[in-house]
Amino acid sequence: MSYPTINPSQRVYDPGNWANKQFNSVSGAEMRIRYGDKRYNAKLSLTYDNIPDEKASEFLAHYSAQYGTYKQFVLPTAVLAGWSGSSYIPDQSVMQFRYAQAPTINSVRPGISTVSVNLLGVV
Amino acid sequence: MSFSSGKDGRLYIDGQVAAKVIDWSISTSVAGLDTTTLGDLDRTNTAGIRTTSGSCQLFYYAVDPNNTSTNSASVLLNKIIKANSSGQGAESEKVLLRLGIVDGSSTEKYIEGLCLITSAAMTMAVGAVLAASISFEFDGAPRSMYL
Repeated sequence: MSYPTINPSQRVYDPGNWANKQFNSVSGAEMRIRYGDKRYNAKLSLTYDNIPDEKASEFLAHYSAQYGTYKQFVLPTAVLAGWSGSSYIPDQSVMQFRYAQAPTINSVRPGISTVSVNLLGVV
Repeated sequence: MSFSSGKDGRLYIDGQVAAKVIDWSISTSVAGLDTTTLGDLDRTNTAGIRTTSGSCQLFYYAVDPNNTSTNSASVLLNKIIKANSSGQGAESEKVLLRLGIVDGSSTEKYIEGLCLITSAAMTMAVGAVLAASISFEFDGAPRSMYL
């Protein structure tokens, strides 16, 4: 089952970082060691405001199909709707995403809900 | 077809025609829920919660001064204002209001529903007749209507 293809109403992206560690000498000079060549720990938060319950339930179904936070998956281009720059979602061969936590569904009125999804980039 | 004016208005309180009504008004609004998504250029929405509310003014006038139930303004005031009894006032009551239009047709036009009185005000002043201003909000959808 693929991730629901719905344009989000809000999107927050944190590109993550490369694994590295900083060391400070007694003099205060800083030295950094990079341990990897891949960026990791990217975070993507998506909010889908006031969507029909049928669409909201697709997120629950997808979450179940991924065994919650266990499996990683590829995101559709719809998550970048409205972004006119080049895609900042890394190629799936470099990074995929998994759920950081279960999607939350806020029932707004009968038949209408708001869904919030927090995803984590997985190398 | 005919025009309607104040002489054609009626207000019923719990099924009884109210006396000495100055005016009534009713308003219905729907809160739009924003469904605009990233990439959209124009705002989109879907219908949210609907609210029907209104107001009316009645002269503080009793057909029988010894019987407050013949004073329509008093009837409404007593629905919301409750005197202290064993420490606190009783809960405000809801009232069945029917706003009618007698337009000359065989069936009166109306909108009727159970209402919560949300405010009541009276001002006593020199040179003015005492009247009550009442605001109300429908409890859910109107029970029935024919407009």
